[in-house]
Amino acid sequence: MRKVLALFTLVLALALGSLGTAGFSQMPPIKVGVLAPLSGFAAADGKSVLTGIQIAAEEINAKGGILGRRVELVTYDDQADPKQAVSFTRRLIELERVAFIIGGSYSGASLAASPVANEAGVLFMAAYAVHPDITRAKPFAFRMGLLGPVQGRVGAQLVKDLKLKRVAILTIQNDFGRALEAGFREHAKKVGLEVVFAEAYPPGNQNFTPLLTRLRGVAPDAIYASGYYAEAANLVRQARALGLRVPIIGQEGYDSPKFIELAGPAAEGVLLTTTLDRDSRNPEVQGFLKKYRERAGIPADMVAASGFSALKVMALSVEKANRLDSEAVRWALRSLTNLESAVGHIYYFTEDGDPVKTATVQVVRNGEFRRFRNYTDLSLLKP
Amino acid sequence: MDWSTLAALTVDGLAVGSIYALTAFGLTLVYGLLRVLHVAHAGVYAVGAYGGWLAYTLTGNLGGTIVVGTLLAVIVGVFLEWWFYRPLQGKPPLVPLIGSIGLFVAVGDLLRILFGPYQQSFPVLPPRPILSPLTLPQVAVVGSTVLLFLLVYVVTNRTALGLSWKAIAQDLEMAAAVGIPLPRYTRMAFALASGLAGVAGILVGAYYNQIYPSMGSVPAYKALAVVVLGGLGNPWGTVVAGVLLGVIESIATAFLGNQFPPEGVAFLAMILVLLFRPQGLLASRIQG
Amino acid sequence: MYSITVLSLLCIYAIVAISLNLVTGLAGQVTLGHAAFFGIGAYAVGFLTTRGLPFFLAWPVGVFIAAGLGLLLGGISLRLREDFLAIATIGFNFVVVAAFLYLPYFGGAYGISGIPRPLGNTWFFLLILVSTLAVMWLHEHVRRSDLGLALMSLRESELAAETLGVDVRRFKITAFVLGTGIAGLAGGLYAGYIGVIRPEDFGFPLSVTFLAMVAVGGMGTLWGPVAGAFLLGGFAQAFAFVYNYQLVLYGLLLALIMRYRPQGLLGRIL
Repeated sequence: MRKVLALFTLVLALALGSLGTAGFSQMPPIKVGVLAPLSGFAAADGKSVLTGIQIAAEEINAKGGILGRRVELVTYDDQADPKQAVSFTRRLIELERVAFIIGGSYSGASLAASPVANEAGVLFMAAYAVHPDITRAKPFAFRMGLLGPVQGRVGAQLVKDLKLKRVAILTIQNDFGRALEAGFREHAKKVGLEVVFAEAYPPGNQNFTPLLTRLRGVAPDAIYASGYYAEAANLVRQARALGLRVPIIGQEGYDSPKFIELAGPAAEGVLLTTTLDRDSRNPEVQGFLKKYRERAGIPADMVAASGFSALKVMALSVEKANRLDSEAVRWALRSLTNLESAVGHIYYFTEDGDPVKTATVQVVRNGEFRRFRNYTDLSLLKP
Repeated sequence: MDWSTLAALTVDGLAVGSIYALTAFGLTLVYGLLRVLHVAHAGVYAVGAYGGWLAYTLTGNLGGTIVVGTLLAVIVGVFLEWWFYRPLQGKPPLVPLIGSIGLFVAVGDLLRILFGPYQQSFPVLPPRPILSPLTLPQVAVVGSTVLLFLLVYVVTNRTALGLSWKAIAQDLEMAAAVGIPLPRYTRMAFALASGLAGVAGILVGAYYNQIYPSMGSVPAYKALAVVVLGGLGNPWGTVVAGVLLGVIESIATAFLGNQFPPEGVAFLAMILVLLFRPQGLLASRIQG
Repeated sequence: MYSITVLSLLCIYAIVAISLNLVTGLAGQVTLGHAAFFGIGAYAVGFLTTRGLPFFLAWPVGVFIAAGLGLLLGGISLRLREDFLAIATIGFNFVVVAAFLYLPYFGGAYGISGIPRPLGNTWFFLLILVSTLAVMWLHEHVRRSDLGLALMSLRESELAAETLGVDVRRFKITAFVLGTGIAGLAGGLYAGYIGVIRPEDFGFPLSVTFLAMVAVGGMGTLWGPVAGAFLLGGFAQAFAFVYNYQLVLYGLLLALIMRYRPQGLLGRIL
């Protein structure tokens, strides 16, 4: 173990030495820890989020770094596994002595990592994980993404605003899906929607035809279906093949160009609640979309945009606090208001560290995500 | 539910079941000959899918897609037999099992490193209705499966090959004693098993319009259940079990949804089969 | 703290690997469902401690439930020959995970989070370490006892064991109860260690990992499973610098060891 570590340090030192110091002062770089699922079942999101974070780091360094110091990313692959996340979080904190951590992983791994960071007094920013407990009662844990229940509420409001009443729910059976469903049902009741069908399916499911066949029998006005883009593509494709023509409402799990590629023509007209608004006039959003496409060769997704914004917001907070001390940065972050990020307008961060921010509904039109409408109603968006 | 719905569900189940049958057939064939659970078979299936996808994106030729994918799967499968399974003959079954799981993990992750983690679309079978309720992908999947199994049936039952496999499966030492060249015959079994898995990979990728590095994970354990239901080592029992499982799954999901855990129920059934009918559900009627 | 964190997990793995060795290595019963018992211990502690029961009361409850189900599986194992048993235990694992996911009160897909750690990091590590040593001692005690000799003979040949007048049925079941109870004990420690548990954390892949630890280290020995647990459990940490290639290397390592050293790193020649 020690030998391996020594070797690792040596390699790192050589690599850094060859990079040179690109005009930065003699001050040591600021190390930023990144946890991302780069291999295993969540590898696609891991790659997206890491690319987003890397773009943010380059952008920050091009503008002179944080507090005049270069940002250096220390990335570990947690495989979306809580066990790896715990060990790597400690490693980032104690061996790498990172200034703060960007959690680019799913809820399970983030749930295990955030208490460790919180206990050590190191700031942890979850990029897109939705589980409420990641931040709850943890002063040093923050989140960039929209909470699951909030997003579910926006979905129900959308159904209401489309003047539809009878809705069928298809839920992916994990914490992500359950959080969305809870929010959707709560708000559906409030605005008088009728849930005429509700089913769950396991993550990774490919064949939706059996469930959709029964769903067709109840003739709903709309389908609210949660899932990630791989499941969603099959769901939408098979629904259309069965002749279901009603609106399908998804959420940020659909938000990937891969969804449109995999679903093909069936993707047209699908609505999704998310936070990356492609038609935003905000230069922060447009700049990111452009840089991502240049770097990755494919259009950006919500996960990448969340990673990008997570690092940008953390950098901004450090600048505002004017030092690296976690306690100071935490208060600086809490005092940020009305911030334009790549994933929506952030009004403020709650006491728990969750953002109150705008949500957008995107629609697939001619093979691209376009804005359908934005939601800015605070009573809907507050956690 | 009316009859047309039931018919649609049956067709859907037949398509899914065909894939199960194609994958599990090879697994049970290998088990019959070598007594190992060849988990890396699901890796071979993913390799076949990627091979086909690569050929399709490069050439756009459908025939070439199937040939390249199948060949690649055969090469990988035969290599595994030669390098891994053959030298481990006679070791406790746990040894090749653990190694095989390692190989499966390595193959899946290698595909991720080579082709990226994202799902890739494989749009060769657009979901067009042909003759309601049949769609093009369903017809293509079920049709090619029937054709392939007919071919396999003819080859194994009309030639010495099938007979030798039966002999080896029943008594390895005796088979060797009467002069059956074991290595050649198990290699041929691996070639056939891997070829079918490769085709299954291509078909499933086309059916759902997506291939991805970890696509073998579900078949890896589902095929095990199919193999047990069919009676371990009984190829034709496995084919029937695979198709049946597909149809039952489709109809049960439609009627019951996921109120009960589908995998939990399926595996509970499997344990009961193991306990009370270890020769498989269909053993007395269908003999390989 | 980092090394304590990593070592804690490795020791928990070592306990599970040793417990599995009692069943597979000594009694020769290949099981691919050991993660289920580990999960039962973890869920018992998670469920009870988040409802206010102290860890040290919840912990034994998990051990008893795990051992009770181990008794059931042991009974099943008597009816099945080797490969069928392995597959049946895979099924058992799926059924238990489905129960975590579907039974009310277990938090469903959310799992259980915020499980309190009974002691400070260092003291908790000491508790894990002491448990590991105790389990190692128990393993050696069993191995050297009449029971152990019987178990070993069972592994070599069931028929021979029977001719020697060994009660095969009783020993198989004893091995199962001991092995699964200890896995439940390790699961309880794990719940306190990690703080968050979800159904998928105890799935079939983890069972494979446990069995791989025993096989890679060397079955039937004491230090084999421990070495296997440290090697495979620590792999991701040791190879973090090649983060993009971790998983492929892990897979290849399993395959290469089984291919070129089938008895495991510290095992006897097969």
